[in-house]
Amino acid sequence: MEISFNKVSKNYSKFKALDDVSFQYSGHGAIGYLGPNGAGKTTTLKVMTNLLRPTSGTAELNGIDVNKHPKKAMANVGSMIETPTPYPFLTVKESLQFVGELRGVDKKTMESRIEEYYDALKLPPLTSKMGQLSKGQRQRAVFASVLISDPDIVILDEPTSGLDPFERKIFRDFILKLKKTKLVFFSSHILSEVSETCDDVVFINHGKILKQGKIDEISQEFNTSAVSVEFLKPVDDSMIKQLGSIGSGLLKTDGRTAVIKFSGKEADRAAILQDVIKLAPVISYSSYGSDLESAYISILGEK
Amino acid sequence: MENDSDFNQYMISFKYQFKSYLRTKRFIGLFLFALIISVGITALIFHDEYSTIKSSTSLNYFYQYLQGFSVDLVVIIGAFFGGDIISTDTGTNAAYYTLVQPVRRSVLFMGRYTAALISSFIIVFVYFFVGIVSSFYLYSTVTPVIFESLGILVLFLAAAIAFASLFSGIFKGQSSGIIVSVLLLFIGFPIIDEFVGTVAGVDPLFSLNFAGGIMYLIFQSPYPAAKTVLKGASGFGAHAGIVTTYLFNPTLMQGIGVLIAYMVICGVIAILLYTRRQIEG
Repeated sequence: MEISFNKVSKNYSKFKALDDVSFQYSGHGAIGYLGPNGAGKTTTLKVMTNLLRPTSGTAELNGIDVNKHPKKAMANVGSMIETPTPYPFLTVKESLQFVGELRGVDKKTMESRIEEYYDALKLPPLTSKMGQLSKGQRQRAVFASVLISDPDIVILDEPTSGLDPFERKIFRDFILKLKKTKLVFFSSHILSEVSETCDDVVFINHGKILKQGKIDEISQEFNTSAVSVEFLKPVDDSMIKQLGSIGSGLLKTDGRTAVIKFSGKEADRAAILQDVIKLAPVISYSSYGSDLESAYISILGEK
Repeated sequence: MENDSDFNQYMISFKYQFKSYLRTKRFIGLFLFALIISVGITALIFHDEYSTIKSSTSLNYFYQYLQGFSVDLVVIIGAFFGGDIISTDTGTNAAYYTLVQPVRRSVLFMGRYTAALISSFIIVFVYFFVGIVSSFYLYSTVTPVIFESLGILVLFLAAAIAFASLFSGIFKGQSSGIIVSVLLLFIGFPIIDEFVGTVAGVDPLFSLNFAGGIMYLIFQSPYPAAKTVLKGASGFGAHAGIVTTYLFNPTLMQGIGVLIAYMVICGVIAILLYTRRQIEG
């Protein structure tokens, strides 16, 4: 299983939606594709699934050029781009059968998988018409169709966007399960979701890849260098003065909370705790922001 | 995956699209429309000309009955089913469901096209069926020419759907292709035929509607002349003069040729448009 983008550019007249995008991933695991709205995430996934043709460069799935040989390249690939709308007059079961049959899944296997996903993905009644489902129900039904042929590669475009927490959890748990045996490539806005599920992360903005690598390494590089301290009483002027000399200085205060910068070393973090306890009783002491959030803001914020 | 041959996928595309069509309001609505029109036209013929048709033959009855609305019905139904064959993907988010599957777009198209053809045939057959029942009632028999006419009907529908599918490939929205096809086939072509044929005296062989006329012309015995020149007096006094008008009929072979040409040329262009279409969304 392999996804490979080689110097892919996509232009709309003079606008460059993708600019020389390259990355390559193989083997099982999950890759998070991060970027703000309009960064080029969906365009990338559309090129990856032959919904768009690149202006230059090649997109390959399992070593096959997806734009030259789409049928062959997509044979072992399941994808959910944007918000797919299956034929509204077909039932949930028929929609799953349609994809399963197109992908050559035998009847017996298909029936058992439909049964499996009906429970695991909490699908709506199989006799419901697709056109009558809510967005979340439809999204789960389409996700089941993505998995019906047990593809090696799964490509998802903001799969949990607009879903409720219950539905998000179903998707997150499934991605964690899938990545053990498959290559999952998905775009998302929800950083906690990416940090919980992904092994690798790619940052894109203005159609350019800004950074890519192991999520741990990137988080390390942009690790949070600030702690948030919540006192029992509001932070007053005298406390602000003293907080300024703790760690690398005071970042901000808000009511009973103060955010203090530090070197990032654990020893310094412990020292800060000892210092602030002397000022007033402390209710909570924690990292300020997540590591991935810091990386996201640092990488995408500066461009 | 040995089951993913193009033919298998064509049959799958056809099967699910056909199931889907049969459940649409469009199918049910047009079916009822065809039924009402058929019964209405039959009632008019029976009311106005019962004694004339009773003494005539099944052949003449079908000519009179089909001449009334059959061409219009075929082009309307063809436009409704062909006008969104491609835009059903590009005008909705269905593309994200269908076009990411490992299937050639041409195969998907052919499956849909066949489903549209059979769905349309079922609807237009209602019109023929009412004619067949009437013929049995009047003459206790049905002319065997009806089978030839049904064969031409299939070809005519295939051409009309291919023509409309061309517009579904040009326009992104679902309704645009249908509206443009209906306007062109139901209003555009008949007006052009009238000017080019009747007034200018040029054989309107380019016209789909004109060619489709063979569907009822074959009930005339003998088969009508390809060209008839009609001269008549017009005006009064100093403005009096002779006006020449023309009446054209396609020969059977011309009609079949034009219908096949429409089906093949429009179908191939529609497939090319579908294959090249990008989902920019």
